[in-house]
Amino acid sequence: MEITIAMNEYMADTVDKGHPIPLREVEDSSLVAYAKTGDYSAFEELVKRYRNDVFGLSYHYLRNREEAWDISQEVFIKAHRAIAKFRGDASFKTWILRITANRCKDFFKKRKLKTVSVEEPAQLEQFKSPTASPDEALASSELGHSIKKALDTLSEKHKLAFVLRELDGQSYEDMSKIMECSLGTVMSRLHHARKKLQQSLITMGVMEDR
Amino acid sequence: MNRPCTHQNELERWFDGEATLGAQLESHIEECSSCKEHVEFLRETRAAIEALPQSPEIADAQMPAFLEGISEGIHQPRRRFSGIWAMASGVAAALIAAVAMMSMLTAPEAPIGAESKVETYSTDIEGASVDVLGCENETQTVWLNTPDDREI
Repeated sequence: MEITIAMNEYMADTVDKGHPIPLREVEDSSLVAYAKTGDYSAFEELVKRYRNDVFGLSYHYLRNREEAWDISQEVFIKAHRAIAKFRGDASFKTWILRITANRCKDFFKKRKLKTVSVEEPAQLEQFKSPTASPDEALASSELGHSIKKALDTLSEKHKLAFVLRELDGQSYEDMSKIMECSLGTVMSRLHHARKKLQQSLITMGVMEDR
Repeated sequence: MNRPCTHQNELERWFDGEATLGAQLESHIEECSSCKEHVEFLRETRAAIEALPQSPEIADAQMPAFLEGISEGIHQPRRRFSGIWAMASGVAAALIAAVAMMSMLTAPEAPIGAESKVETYSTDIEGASVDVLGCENETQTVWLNTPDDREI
């Protein structure tokens, strides 16, 4: 009941506040412009739009839902404070993911976390692949989980490159903007990340040394 | 593992959809066992990642709570002076340390414990006595010794 009321208030807040068209139909650049003038509902629409991009990257990086939730909120708080400085050279999504990547790296530096997998066993049971046989599916799923564990053996820069490409599906160009480096560096980091990951998987015994 | 081939960066660009597979690279992959194995590793890795359960998301129902946290953070006064306070704390700690060191260096040469017993008096209470201790700086300390050896 409370959720329903809150949702209604949320929807009412985000749909319109004196805007000629509903905010959900407004382009990012216009929302940013509104937000720069102090229009909080426009900023909320941006949060609504990109929350899962931010949360996804944080989660892939930290592998902990609660921490990813907190980091995601911090990212948007930081974005709100810095939005006046956003020049629009990159898209809002790239900009917010850059803030996310930096926040995640800071988080690791400060905490020097030894992450542990928080994937619930139930998720493994829920796993179903439409094409693979149950054995193949299980083997692939095990490898997937091992890959996530092996990610912790990578340096922060290599980890970020791998997560952005393989888990978030970012292009090299967007990666270079998020990682604030050249395309050549992106390719180099990604290549080294893959090589190190392969080595870790061989050491873990989940992949053969060919 | 085989020795990595110099074509692997190019190969990864193609695999990541950033470049097309030219005829030259295609024929190279056919001939190079290192590149073949690398492609196999890339495919295996990607398939395994794609097979993983979908990452968690912030559902619409969670949005009010998510937005509330952001709103609280935005409207919280920024700790603008945290750096100054940290610096002030450091300066205060340094001052305390300096004062402590100064007091140690300028303390009287005679240590507090350098007392000698001058006189001992017995009392009406059985087992209780009074010791008068003299210090080098001409002060005296009086100790009352109780029967159970507790000094008062």
